[in-house]
Amino acid sequence: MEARCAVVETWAEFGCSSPGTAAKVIWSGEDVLICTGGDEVSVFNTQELKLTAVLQFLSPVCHMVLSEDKQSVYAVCESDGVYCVSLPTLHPKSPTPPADQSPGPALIKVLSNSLAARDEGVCSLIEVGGSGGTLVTVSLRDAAWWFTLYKAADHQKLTQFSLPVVSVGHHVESEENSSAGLVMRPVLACVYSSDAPPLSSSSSSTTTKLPPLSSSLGIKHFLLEPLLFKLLFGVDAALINSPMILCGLPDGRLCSLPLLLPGRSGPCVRVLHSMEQPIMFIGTTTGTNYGPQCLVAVGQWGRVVLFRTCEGGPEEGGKVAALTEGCVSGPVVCVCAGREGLYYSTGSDLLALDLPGVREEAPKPEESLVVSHGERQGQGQAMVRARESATLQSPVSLNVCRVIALAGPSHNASGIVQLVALSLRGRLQCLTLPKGTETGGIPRLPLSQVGQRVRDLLAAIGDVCERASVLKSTIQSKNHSLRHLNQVLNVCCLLLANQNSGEQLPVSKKPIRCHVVAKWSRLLQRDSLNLTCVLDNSSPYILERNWTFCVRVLPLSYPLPAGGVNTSQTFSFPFQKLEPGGRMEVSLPLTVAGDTSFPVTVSCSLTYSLQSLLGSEELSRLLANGEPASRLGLEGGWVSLPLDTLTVDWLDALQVTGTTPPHRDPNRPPISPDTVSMDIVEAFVSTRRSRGSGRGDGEGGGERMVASDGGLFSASIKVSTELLRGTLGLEPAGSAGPSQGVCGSVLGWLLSQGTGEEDWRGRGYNGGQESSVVYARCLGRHTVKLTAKEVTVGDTSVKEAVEVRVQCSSMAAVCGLHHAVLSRVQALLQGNASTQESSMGIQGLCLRQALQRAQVLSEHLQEARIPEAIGLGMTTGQTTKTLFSVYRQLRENPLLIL
Amino acid sequence: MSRVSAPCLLDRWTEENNAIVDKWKKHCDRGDAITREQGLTLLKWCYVESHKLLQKIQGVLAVPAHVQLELTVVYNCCLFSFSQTQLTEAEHLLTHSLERALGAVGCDRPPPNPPVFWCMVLKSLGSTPSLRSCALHLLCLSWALWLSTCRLGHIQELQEELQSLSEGLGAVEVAVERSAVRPAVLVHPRDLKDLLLICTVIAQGAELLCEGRCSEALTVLQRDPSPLAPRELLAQIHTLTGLCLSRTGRPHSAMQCYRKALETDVRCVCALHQSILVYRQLGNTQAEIQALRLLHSVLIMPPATQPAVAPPIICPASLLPGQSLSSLLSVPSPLSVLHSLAQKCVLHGSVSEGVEHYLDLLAALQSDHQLSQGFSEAPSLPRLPELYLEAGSSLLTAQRPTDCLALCDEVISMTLELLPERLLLEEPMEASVPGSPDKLGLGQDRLGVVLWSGAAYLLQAHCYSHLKDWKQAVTHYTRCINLLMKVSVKQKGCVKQELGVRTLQRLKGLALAGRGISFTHRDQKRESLRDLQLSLQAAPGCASAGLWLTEVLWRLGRRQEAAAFWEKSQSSSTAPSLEGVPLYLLDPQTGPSLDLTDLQRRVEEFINAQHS
Repeated sequence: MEARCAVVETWAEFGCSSPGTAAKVIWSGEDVLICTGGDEVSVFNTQELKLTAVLQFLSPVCHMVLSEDKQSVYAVCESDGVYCVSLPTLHPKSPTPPADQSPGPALIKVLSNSLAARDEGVCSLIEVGGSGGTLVTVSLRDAAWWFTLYKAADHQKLTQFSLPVVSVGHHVESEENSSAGLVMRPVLACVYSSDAPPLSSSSSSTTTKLPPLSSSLGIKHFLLEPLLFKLLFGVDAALINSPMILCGLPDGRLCSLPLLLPGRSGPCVRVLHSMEQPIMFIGTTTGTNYGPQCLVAVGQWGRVVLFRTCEGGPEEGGKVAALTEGCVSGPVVCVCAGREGLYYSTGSDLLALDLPGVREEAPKPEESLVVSHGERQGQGQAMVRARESATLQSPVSLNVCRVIALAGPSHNASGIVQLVALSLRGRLQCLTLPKGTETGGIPRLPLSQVGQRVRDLLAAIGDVCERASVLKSTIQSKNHSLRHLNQVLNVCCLLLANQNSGEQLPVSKKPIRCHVVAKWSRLLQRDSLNLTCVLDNSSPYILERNWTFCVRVLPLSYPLPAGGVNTSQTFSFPFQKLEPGGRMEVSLPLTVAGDTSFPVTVSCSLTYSLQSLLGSEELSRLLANGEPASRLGLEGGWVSLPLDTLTVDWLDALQVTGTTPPHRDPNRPPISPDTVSMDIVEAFVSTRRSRGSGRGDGEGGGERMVASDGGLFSASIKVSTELLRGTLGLEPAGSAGPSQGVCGSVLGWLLSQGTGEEDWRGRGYNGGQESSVVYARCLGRHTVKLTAKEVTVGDTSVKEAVEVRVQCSSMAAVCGLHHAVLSRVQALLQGNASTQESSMGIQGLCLRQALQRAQVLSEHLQEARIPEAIGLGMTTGQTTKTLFSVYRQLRENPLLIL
Repeated sequence: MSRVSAPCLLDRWTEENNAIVDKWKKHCDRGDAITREQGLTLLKWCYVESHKLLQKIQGVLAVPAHVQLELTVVYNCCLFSFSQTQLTEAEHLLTHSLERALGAVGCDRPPPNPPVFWCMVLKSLGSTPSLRSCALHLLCLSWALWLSTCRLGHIQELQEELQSLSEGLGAVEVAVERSAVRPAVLVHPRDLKDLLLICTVIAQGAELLCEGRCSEALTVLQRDPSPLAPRELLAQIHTLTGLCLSRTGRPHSAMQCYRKALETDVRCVCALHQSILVYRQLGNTQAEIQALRLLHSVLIMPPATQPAVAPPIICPASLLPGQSLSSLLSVPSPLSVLHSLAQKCVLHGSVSEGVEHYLDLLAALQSDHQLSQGFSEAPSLPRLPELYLEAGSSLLTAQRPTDCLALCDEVISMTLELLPERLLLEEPMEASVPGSPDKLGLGQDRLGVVLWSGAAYLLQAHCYSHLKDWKQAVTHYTRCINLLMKVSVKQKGCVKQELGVRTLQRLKGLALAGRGISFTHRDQKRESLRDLQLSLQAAPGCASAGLWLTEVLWRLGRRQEAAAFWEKSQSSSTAPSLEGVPLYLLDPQTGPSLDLTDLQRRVEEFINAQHS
């Protein structure tokens, strides 16, 4: 079905609560009369586009028609009968009313003195012949349709006849339909023979006059070609030029009633045909000058019946009236006749139906249903109908919905066709039909324009195609985003579940885990410590773009001059694509040599940027919504998922040089001036320290640190061998292999996370059973000596232990390393919570010693503070020295870690 | 509480009732002061108001004290309902109220069968005089309802009670006078009863007459009617009596009755129509024509202006809705009367008057105002083309051939397109009632179209031969014959020919004869002889054809044959009946004359000479 759009212009709106079939529009000249089923009829002026008058009746108006001379309107009221209102009285006499500035519509009350016919049962009416003519009403009473004729002039009842109601009763239907607001009422139309002009008897020319439809809107009087008129209605009616009243009853019967009755006996009302569905419209194709006219009836469910003349059968010849049936999709709500076809509304659409009889040849007799001699038999009809329905063109949609009443059409000079429609909501609309619909579905273009038209159409198709592809890609990207989001959410869930579960999973079990390794590298003669972070993705999800791996480096302690400002650094590494099972290694400069703000905390996290996925606009919209975004923790459109927090300490930063002291390796060329200068400074400092340390030498016990070795500071820690064996998984003492003793293992363990492990192992330090030594270079290029040796502790019950000693010329390095070793051991202890009872004694001993030491230290402290308290001039140098030695002794932890 | 308020309420209701009744009565008395429309509105108002009042009254439980008021209001109410033709409503109201009343006086619920119901009601309420009168009022009402719904059986069964109404209603006066404020009644029951009585007589008479029991009807109708009855009803009684008499074979007595009816009511057109039928039966053509003229003039008189007053509450028309009565009293339409008049005039001498009537008739048909002249289903007009043809032939008879030609032209042009190429008729034709075309189109009209067209050609040919334009005459006769030859009749052993076929044959005969005669005048004797012979074959009853055949034979010198044919035609002089033959198919009156005496003389001389 080809669809074309009519231009809809809303003129006015009327309250239209439940318009049934009472809704009606009449278009007469400049006026449009609108009845929506209430007790008011509105008059709308199409020139000024405003309501000019409102007729108020005493009861709801259920039907109205215009008189033939367009001078008066007849309205059927529900409880009274037929009112006749003269239209000229509605307009003020003076052509220019003084109060031109939007005078409100005049309210005219129609009183009972305008009552034309008192008959409460009137369903439908028609007026023929103007004021000198006749008014015909149809009413339902006592199971019969009563046709009553009144004089139009004085409304005097002339005569009436009845037609029995057939079984498909009006009542039954009305009960069903009343809920839907549809009360079927008979349709009346008046048909003239076209050689008998209805009003002007003078112009009896033989040529068919142009039907006056274009000029006289809203009148349902139709002209029929004389031959068809005679064939359908008989010679008698044609002889006296009787107008025929056609009545389509709700039971589907199409009746004819000659208005001028030759005083004949028998039934005056003749049933022409039965449509078997309520008749909605009767009319003729008013057509042009050419071609046969035909009588059309349209049923509610879309059956269209055409009566035309055609050649009689071969046995008789002559002309006969033929009946063509077709079907359009129903339901038909309202119909109006155009020049060459019909416009009808199904409620959901407005359609233009071109009638075949207008332009085409009359059908061949065998194709249509020739009705004569009472030959109509049921069996043949179905076939004929099926064949005939094909001859009916398919209607053209005009894409206007909800039309319940139609009037018009009007054809203006430029060929624009307009209809007036009333919508279901009571909206008065002017429909300007697209050109071409009036001439049927196929616009007839001149050949020259066909090419252009084809090009236009192709261009239109191209546009549509483009739009479709754009839409498709949008859909694809949306899908893509959704898939991404799903991944993101999965990853989020995975990581958040880890966090929320409380206890941390062991690192190795985390689906996405990372570990860091500090590595020294030498670039441009400068040593720098690089942190290498390795991210293992053992989750089933791909970490794609938009994910970022963030590493935040935060020193645990930082120099005070920084003013407490968080000197953390964040490094972020966007992912390209990390498949499940893949790993990503990133390295970041941790510090240049000499920077000593160790240990540092390294926080690893995964962040996801929604912005890159959604685009900034959408994201801002999402964020503006507030609540869900904030719940997701989407400040700024970032999702941040912490992975791990690791610590990089002095141990990690050690550079193992070997098991022998490096001592100015002659092989090594003098390095950068920077390092050289460092060495000078270092030497100086170490001499200072050695002197200092030498003073307090004698106070320490055997276990205390020795500063003998070139003025080195040292710190030690004792760990029970048993514990180490247990936690490090070493062999028991008995089955000692020649390779490595406990001491070596301990050093290996301590340095395992540091750099240079491989070198160190490769070199194969020659640590004996009792002790092993590792030399390394720490931050600040100090040489550090790490010693591990087995000692026995305790008097009563000898306990084996490993003493780890750190020796370095730099105090800071010793402290840092001591702290690092302690934290390692602490971590070790956390991992192995069980304590052996047997060690209680040793522990007690150690505690005692520690207490003694603490007392001694306390005394030292007191001593140091006394002169100050007394006010004696003790030099600050002395005090500092004293305090420093106390500090050093505190470092010497006598405790045995079991 | 009810004891305190009851009398007061009773009074108020009574006043309300009286107010309504007064208002209506005042309106009726005032007469012309207001329009009919306003009267109808008032009537509707009264109807609504009285029903409201009744609802109020029936809202409380029926107590004996109320019953009289209630029944009176019911009476008024039902009358108003009756005026609005709400018959079932009135009946329901009546039954319901009586049941209430019976309940109030403590009687059982009566059976629904109306006669038994009423016997019981009268018995139960009869003891109290006031209630009895009310019951009688309602009985009147019930009677009216039965009458207007044609339930004459009930009236028959309750005849005794109805007869006793007169005495009962007389007693009412006394009984009712006593109460202080008496509820007013809309129509006095006695008036109602009188009206009902005469209407019953009419209805019963009509019913019996229709059933063919004329003597019984006569006895019913000849009951002494009340002289105060409306004139129209009396006239109807007379007419019905006349009908009885004419059907029992006493036309002269019937005429007397019709005259009486007309004397009683001038507008009793039915009596006039019936007298026309009697005249026709008696063969008194002149009187018939006179009566037809009179009837026509009465019928086309403008109807009496309706009185400005609203119609009475109960009008006789609503009491006499019977189909039998209306069919008995029906009158043909003025057009049909005019047609009869014209036809009679043409057939019986006064051709010019007949022509005038025909022309009037055609003019009336063309005009839009024919509808105002009423309509009825009684004897009807023929089909319009036939009417045209009749008018044409009468014009020809009146020596106006050009007018005839014009009329025939109209018929021909009208039917030209409808003519079939061929038409095969099978006798007997399917039962087709003439005058009622079938569902769609002109299936049954197809023969009619041929016949009309042919007859129009024939008349035109007659006109031309009248004008002595023999060439044109031959042309038109030939057209007619050619047209008729398209129809072929398949005989199926049916002896009696149908009207259509008979007409066809007659038309053929006339056309052939006419052409034969025209040929004679063109001196084409052989063709003439052939046509005349064919004509006699087709339609044996064509008298002029026989004469002309003799003449042609004579002229051809075949005197022997001419004499033989003459003798034959003289001996079998019984012309076939022309009954049912349309006016335009009668032998042309104005054709070329043949000196019959001369022919007769010649032929007889020849015969005598032969014999001698």
